[in-house]
Amino acid sequence: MNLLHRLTKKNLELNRKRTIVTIIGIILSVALITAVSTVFMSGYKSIVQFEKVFYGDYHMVFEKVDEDNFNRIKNNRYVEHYFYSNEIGYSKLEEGKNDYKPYLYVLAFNKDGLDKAGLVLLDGRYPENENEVVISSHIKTDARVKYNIGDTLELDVGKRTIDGVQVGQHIMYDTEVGEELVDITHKTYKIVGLIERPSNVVEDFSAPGYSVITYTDHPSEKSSIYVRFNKDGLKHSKKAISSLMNIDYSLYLKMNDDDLTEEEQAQMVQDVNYDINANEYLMTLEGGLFDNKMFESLGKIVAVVIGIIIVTSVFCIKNSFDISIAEKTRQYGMLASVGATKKQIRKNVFYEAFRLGLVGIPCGILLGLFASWILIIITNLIFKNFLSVYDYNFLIFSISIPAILVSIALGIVTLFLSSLRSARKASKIAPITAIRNSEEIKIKANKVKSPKIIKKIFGVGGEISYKNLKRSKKKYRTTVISIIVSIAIFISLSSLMTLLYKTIKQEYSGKDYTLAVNYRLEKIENEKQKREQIINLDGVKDYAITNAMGGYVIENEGVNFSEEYTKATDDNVNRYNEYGGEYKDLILARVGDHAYKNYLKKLGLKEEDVKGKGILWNYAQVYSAKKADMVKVECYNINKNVKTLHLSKLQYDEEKHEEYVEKFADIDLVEVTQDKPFGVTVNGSATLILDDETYNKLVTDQVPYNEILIDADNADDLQDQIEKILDGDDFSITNILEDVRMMRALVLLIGIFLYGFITVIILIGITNIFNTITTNMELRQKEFAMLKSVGMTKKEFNRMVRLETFFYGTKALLIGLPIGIALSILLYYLLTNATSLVNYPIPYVPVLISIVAVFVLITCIMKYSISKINKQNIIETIRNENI
Amino acid sequence: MEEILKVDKLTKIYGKDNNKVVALDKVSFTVNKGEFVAIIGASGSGKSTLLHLIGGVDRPTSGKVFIEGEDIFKLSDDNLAIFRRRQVGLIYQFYNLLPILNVEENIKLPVELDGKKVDEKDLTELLKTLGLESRRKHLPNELSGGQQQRTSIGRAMINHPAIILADEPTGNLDSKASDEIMELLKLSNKKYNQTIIMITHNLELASQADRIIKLEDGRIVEGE
Repeated sequence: MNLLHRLTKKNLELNRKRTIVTIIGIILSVALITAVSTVFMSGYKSIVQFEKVFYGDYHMVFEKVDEDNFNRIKNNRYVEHYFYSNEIGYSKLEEGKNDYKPYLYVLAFNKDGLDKAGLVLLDGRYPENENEVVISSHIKTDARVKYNIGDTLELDVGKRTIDGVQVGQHIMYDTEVGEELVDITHKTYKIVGLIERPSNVVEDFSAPGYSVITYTDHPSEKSSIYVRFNKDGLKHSKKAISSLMNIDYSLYLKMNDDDLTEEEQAQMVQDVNYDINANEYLMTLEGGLFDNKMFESLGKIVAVVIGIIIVTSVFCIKNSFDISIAEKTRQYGMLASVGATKKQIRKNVFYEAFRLGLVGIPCGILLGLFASWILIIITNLIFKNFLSVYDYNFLIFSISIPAILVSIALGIVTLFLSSLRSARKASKIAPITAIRNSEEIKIKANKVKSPKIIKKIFGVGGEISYKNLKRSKKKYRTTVISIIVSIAIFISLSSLMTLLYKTIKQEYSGKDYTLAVNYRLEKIENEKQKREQIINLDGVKDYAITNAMGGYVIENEGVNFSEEYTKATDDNVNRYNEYGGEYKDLILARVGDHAYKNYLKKLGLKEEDVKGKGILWNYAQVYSAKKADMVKVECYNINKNVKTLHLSKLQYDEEKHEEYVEKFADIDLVEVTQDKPFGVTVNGSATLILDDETYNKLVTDQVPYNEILIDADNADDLQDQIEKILDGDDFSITNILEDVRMMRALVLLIGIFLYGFITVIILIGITNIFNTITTNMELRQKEFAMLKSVGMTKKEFNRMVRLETFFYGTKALLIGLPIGIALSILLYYLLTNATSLVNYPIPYVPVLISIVAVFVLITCIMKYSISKINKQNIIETIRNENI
Repeated sequence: MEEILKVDKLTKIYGKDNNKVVALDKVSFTVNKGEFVAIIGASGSGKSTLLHLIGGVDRPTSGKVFIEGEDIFKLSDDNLAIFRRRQVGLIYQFYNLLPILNVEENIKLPVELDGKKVDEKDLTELLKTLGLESRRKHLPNELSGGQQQRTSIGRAMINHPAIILADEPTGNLDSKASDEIMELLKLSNKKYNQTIIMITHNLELASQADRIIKLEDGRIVEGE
């Protein structure tokens, strides 16, 4: 090691505290970059894995190909791996409740196929011979036919034909078209497992048969072959596809552009006499990370985030180099005077960066990997509830070598950029500065004049500290900017969180129930008794038995669209009103006795006063073209004189193809409110809540229908119990708790990521603030000693330092708080729009936290520095003439 | 005799217009090899400026300095730095040692900057001459002022430069230490035929030199 390097090493060791703090800054910055890129890559790998597990590990499927083609395809040079399936046939599912899915569809996969076709085993095991099957779960949930593991299936399996032509799963079942099963053979299967409904390549969305999957060990004469491309195939997917189709590449391109001549088309149909399907998403995912739209845009976000991290870190780390240079001005001047060239001095600064990086970057990488590992574990824990049935981890932790290399490279770039300016500055130090005393302090007298008021309020100490601040503006600028950046990021991101929470709360505030059971009265045997049974179940916290009807119009003069409503829909040509937009729409609703009584209690109304009258829930959700989204607004502006609503009903004249209004009824209005009863969700217009009796009397042209809305914590349990009660009936049940939980988990996750990000950025800021303050104090030791030597007491000295703290803490807050608030307002307008009902949440709490934190932090650091200074001997410090 | 230094109409002006200060005004003189020259003058007479210009740590407003025939201000900054570490040894009033390097390392600095190895025998002999043999591993703050100044003399001499420039080398020392330093400078002048230019305002010390140049208001008034 040469002398200069040794010098650097010694310097770093000597300034251990600052070295450590700087290294921490580097570690944090590199860790953040690593974590962001690792989480990104893990996300990518996870989605690829998710696709493989749930949709199948193959890129193309060639359906029902003959033996020649089968062998040709499986030996194609672009194929890495293949598996196949044989169609066994269709069997009538007599008890099925879904009219459009009247069949069981028996399909055999080879062993690899069972593993890789995207089948998700819910219970039991996969079939191991040709007499065993797994059945898909929606046979139970959709067709409501119960088969259990261990049952034997006796099936008459045949080919599905329409007009003598054999058809498969891609052709929808149409009740109007006659179709039949031919070549029926009897088969006996044992059910050994239950699977999730297969992906739509295997079972189309509108496929007529429920999948029943068995095992095979040999291809039939018409097998479907599923292929996975090798790397070459993924890279040149078009070439691979044309090669697999056994057609000319140029012809394939022409076909893709729809440019084929009729002859070519005919030829093509003749040559390619089989169906082809692609698992396109997986293909684009694996074909190239950034070929995929989602990852392309995600990648852009990641790039911006990493950009912010680098800028922030460069700024902070640069600062510690600057300090180090300022401290070593005389050293560099002396080196220059004994003949060190500029290049040598520049190299020396870079060497310092190199040494810091040597420790900081690897530690940062490890910390970043560790942090992302923890994040991924937490994410999986949060999402466990949703995917628990599959025993599947949502995110897989993947250490990506390219991501690490990129992080190292970016870490080096960060350090290089950080030290660049310092290196230049150091090399420019003239040797003469070593001989003169100092170059850092260049003052013009008029620049350090302090207003008289400062002296009046704060005394001499205050004046000196004020002058200090003005004098070493540059030095304190870094501290002040660090604080400003931290405050701004903290305030804007935490108010973003608040906003997200509020939005989601509002999104679901309409939905105060977790379970919804829908049925037509005539479809349920003993409806009343079963309904009673349901609402009396343990765990039902609140419930409503609702029904609603739209198509009513308010005719009153005194009722107009509210300002909010007009503003939200102004630019909207297709007003959220299917009848033309000029009508003042109204929806009539009932919520059942229980919920209605609770509603009256909430509004402070008496039952006898409202009997036969309406309560207007004056709230609507409309489409705002400006925002390209639904927004919730107050619906009508109702004149105080309006006591009775004159309602008409919209009718449609079938012959004239026109709509017209017909006088409906007059309903007395008791209350206009923004409060809603339990169970009613927001509609496109205001809703008039009526008691059951009035509603049933008025609304007569409706199919008798009930929607029971239930709020329960254990919605999953309750769902099972309700399904038991209504077993055999025709109903549908929706579990909203899942959605809400998913949303909340998502917010929590975003919160973890955002707050993690805030924390690290602030930590970087703190290391920076710590560095500047402590070094500044050390650099001014001599000055402090001088002040003490002319008789400043310890108390006065401490007061002076405290005032300094106060001055620049205040300065940072005065700039940082408005920037933070401005940013949060900007975010608010980007995420919502002016018509949103979520008002801009003034971030009182973050502002307060910032103020307190800034002063506590600076005071602590100052105290720390002062305690060190107070220990020193005045004369020693003054006389210490060495560098 | 061999001419080692030639100063030719050297002018240095600080500031502009009203604030203009002429520190040096067309100063010219020559120094021969092996000469021990003392430059004296009142404070503000321009003697330090002259020394800095000769040492190439500052650039003149006009005029030239030739060391061993080389016009030093024609060199680029980097080449001037290299020239300085090989041909000029600087001694300061406040020693200017690196506090974190020990005696030996401080002395070796100019050689190591050249990427060369110091001849251990040379170094030991030099340390013996300086009387720092037993202190070679000590850090500057463990030394007395005189010892520190001897270290900086060692640093100036290690490369056997064409010329040693000393800026009030004894200005910060008591009389005993001052005498030691003067002895050392005279010794190197005699022993190695070392050319030395020393700034001082101490006439007694100046009188020990071969020649005295007196500066007044940026002009040589004596000893040209």
